[in-house]
Amino acid sequence: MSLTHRTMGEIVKQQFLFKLRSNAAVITALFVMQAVVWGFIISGAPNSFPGFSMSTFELRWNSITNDKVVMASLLWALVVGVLMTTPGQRNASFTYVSSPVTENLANFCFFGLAAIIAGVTTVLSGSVLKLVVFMKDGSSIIETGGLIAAPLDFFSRIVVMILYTLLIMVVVYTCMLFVQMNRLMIVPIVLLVLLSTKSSVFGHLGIEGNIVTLFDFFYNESSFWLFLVKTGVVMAIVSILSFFPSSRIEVKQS
Amino acid sequence: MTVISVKHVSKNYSRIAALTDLTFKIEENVITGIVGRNGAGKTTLLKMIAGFQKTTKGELRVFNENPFRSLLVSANSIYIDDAMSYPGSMKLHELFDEFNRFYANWNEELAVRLMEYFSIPLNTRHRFLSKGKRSTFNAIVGIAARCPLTIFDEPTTGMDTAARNDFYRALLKDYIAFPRTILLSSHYIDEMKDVLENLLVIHRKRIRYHGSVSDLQEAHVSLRGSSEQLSGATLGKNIVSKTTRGLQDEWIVENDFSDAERAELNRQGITNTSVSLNDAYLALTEQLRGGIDDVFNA
Repeated sequence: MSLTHRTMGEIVKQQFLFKLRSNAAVITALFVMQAVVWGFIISGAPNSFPGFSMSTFELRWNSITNDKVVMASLLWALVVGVLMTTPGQRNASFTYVSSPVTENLANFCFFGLAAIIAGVTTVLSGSVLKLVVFMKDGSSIIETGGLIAAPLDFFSRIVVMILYTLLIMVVVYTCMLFVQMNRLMIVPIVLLVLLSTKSSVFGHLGIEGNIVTLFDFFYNESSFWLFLVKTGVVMAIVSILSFFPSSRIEVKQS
Repeated sequence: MTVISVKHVSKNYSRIAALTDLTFKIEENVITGIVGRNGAGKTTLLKMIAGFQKTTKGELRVFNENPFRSLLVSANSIYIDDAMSYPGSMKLHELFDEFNRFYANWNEELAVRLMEYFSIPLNTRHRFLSKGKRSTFNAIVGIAARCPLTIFDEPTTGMDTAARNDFYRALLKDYIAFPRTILLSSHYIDEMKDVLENLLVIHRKRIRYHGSVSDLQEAHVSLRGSSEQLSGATLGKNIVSKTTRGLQDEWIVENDFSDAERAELNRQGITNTSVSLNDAYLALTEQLRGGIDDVFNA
């Protein structure tokens, strides 16, 4: 029987499509989660402000924001990052033709598509929210421009959301791979998370001021292009790092 | 052509040895039975050959490559055990579609015919099958994939006797039509003896025997008589197992008796017979002193 020679590209493509088919529920979960959060926003009490009144007129206003959908999508990205490192996922991939490299690349392709879907739907949900508010109340002040009013701004919001989602997936995925390689890796990872989230634990050590910049490095970047470069470089570094644990983890360990 | 080459390979889990200093070769298109007692290291060896686990020491080559991280080995081998991982959301026919995409020699028609024969519906999910049906499904995958290296690790777990016999028959028929290298691990050595050409016995983390099935049987002889008689007749011989059967003892001894020695055995009334494959295997893997009887006789 002659041997079959498959290229890495072929297997990455097959594995990517396999992951899409076998993880369709993950994408569905995103839609369900967004719909539920969206439902809460629409039906629930908006952030009400007491307003003020004078003798001649009274002013009251409510604000509705899409931030909760954004948070839900980012939380979903975190779960997806963890999910793709579970032994069940890995073993299922190795039931078919796979190698650690193709497995990693196929996961990144999956993250890419999942982030695009999450980014687009999250930003679009904001547009739908505006429409619903307009239909409901008739008058509204819209803080962020839409596709027609500010198309460039609209698309840049989508790109930023995609990049945030992808960044979370890749970082969480890589961290989890290191933890699977060696459980002791939990320690430096937890410390890093604490440090990067302005934890008061470290505040008294006088290092908080320096560490805050790690979080603000992305969040407070006002230049779109610089943000692209920053996230691109960080994702590239983290992705390359992920090959180190993934090529050492054994599969089907009993 | 050598498909698997193992040179001084050891495997440790943390500091616990799972396999120690294995050296052997497996040639192309041979069906080899991998047998050993529980915890002997069979599964570890098979997983290393499949490329799922790495060696701690030594050199392991499959199709001339280190199987760990090898795409060539993965594309040309399939590992079937009783804990196969399939996505829970996919139905069996969808799993077949995936096998068809990944494995160049996959025979969908054969897979479907076997599914019909074993009465496994294609539109159900793997987790909804009974334990025996799950194993049968896995075994069908292993046969239909027609990989140059096919590895079955305890494939018949949970199958009923009829299904086990049918599996071995199906495997043999497909092997004759499409010869390939097959590694078959099972505790039911008598059931698989008809399909095996070679046997690799692992005992206490080491290779105890590697060779043809018939050579193993011929290499041993079973002697029956009183323990005094057997002690005298086997002086200088390598005794591999001792068992008490009723009033007589049965010793399995390495068969290097000359014709004169055989005649002497007959003269003393010691029965000497050839051993079954299962007995030869058990003889190799049992402790010389102590069967389970000794626990109760202490």
